[in-house]
Amino acid sequence: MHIPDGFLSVPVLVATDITAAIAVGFALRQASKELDERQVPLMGVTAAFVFSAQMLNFPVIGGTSGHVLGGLLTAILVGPNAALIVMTVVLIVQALLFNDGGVLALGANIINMAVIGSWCCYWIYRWLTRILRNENIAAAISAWLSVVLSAIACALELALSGTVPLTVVVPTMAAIHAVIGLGEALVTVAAIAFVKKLKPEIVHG
Amino acid sequence: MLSRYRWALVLVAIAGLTIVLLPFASELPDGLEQAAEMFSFAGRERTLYTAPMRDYSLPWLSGFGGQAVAALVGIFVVSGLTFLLGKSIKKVRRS
Repeated sequence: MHIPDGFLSVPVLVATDITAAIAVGFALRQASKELDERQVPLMGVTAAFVFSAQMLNFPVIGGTSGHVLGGLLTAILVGPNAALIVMTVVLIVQALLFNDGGVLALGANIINMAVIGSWCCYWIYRWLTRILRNENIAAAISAWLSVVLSAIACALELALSGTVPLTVVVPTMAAIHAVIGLGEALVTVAAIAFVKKLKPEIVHG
Repeated sequence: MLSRYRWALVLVAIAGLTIVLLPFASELPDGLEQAAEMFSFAGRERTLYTAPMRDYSLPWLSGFGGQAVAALVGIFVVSGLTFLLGKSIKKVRRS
């Protein structure tokens, strides 16, 4: 889902780059008030996990592959603000070291995967946990949503750029990522269960 | 909390597992690439900046070897940078 350079128009690039910078600035400020020293190594390790998971594509349907985003998992482990920072670092390194995602398109990718896919879906997870009274189901639904909503945001950015019509790109991206999201849900729930079994006290929740 | 030694061990485990699973990773296009081909906007892609390990490969080491090195570099760079950033922004404990 990493948008390369050339797909987005200049106005969309400007808007997304500015919005992403504000979001990251906000997350840094919030994290500086709440981040405990003991969480810092976990941030580093989750960044490694997210990077690795995003390298390991799995086939889905129709000759397409997908990969785990890791946004919600990261947010549950280290908190939403720290997670936004983790995802942003991963995206920047992916763009600058590997050309995975464009440089000017970083803002859009940060909004899609770090803001929507991690930070926003964490709060959806918290809300679902409260109303469903089941953390695992809440995590599965929120993880699935993190992929689908990120994909829809990506599609909207492409449509707003005039790259592809809204009526074709949104359903297509949503449909493909609805399947990929099932993998995300499975990995997220399994990973949370694994970490809680080993060291429940390190999970932010 | 885990000691520093154990965190390093977890990192090595992630790196090791990634290398083991890398040969099984799908080479099929992802959702965005597929949509770009379907709706004919793939040609719009522009490379404004050429990364040193473009597409997770090395110019001087092809195939799995290049991918594995790229994966290891990426894992240690992201974890190192995130760790340093976390260290610099963590809340200051008031004594």
